[in-house]
Amino acid sequence: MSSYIPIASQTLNSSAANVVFSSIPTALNGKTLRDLVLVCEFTTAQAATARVVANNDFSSYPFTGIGGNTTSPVWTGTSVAEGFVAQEFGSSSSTERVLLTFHIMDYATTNKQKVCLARGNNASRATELIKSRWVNTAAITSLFIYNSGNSNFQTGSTFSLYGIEG
Amino acid sequence: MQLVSTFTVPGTGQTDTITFSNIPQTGRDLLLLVSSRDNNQRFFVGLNGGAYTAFSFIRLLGDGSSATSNTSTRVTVTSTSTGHTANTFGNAAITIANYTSSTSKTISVDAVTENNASNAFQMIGAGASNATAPVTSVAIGDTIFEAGSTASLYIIS
Repeated sequence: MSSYIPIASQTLNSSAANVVFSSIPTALNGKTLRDLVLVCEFTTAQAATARVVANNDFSSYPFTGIGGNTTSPVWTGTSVAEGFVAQEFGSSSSTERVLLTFHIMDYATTNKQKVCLARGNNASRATELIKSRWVNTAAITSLFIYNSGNSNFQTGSTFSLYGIEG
Repeated sequence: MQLVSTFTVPGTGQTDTITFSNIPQTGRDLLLLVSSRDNNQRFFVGLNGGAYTAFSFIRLLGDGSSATSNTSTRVTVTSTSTGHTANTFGNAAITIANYTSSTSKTISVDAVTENNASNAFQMIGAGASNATAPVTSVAIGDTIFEAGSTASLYIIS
């Protein structure tokens, strides 16, 4: 199994509307990186659905997903979002801890649109598996993480970016 | 990613609980990989010696023809049954995020049953523990694991 190579991590000391990882390297410690894994664990005070934007491009990320949730109870859907997607059912209170994992493949290539396979977990609301694609072949150099509900990530939220060697 | 330890149920024995204790508090997340065959076609996950019922858990379960979703107070992981195709084992990846924190723990589960028949499942699940202490031990059990079942615990830093 390829190891997770830490690139950067952030733990919020105060609430924040977004989190940014910039100048993402293509190699670390002499190892070429092929994929990115972004792990986000957070709470929000109001209704929120997290998105991850590549290179500040909010334009087009078609996605398809499936999930189990407390309202449907089984959901499958397809749509277009303004960033990579891991959750459609979001969160809505500070007591709901959310765990999202984004696996972005071949992030440094310049001849592929970037595909992300993500898991979204909110034990109070839904568990989801979602595939999304950035309709752009540029290499990913930054990731902008925010909530489409304009709700801040709360103090103590953590965001960790890893590279996978390949 | 650092391997903490691996446990394999020996060829002549059976095990009802697999426990990883004294987990180093040096990483960010835990990853537990399980290859299992047991008499209940499922096992539960426990933290710090606590009850298996100390969680909120929601899962999506598919069997190839339909999908269902249910909630529980147990982190319930699908496995392969002792009655299934011989020499086959289910696979599971269980992630426990921010395990050294003093907040409730979030858990992600991906698991499959292996079986040459219609009784085989794929699942994803989301869990949250009620307890807030840092995780120093992880257990899987409430079943009888067959010989050859393995579990490996990793720290992701």
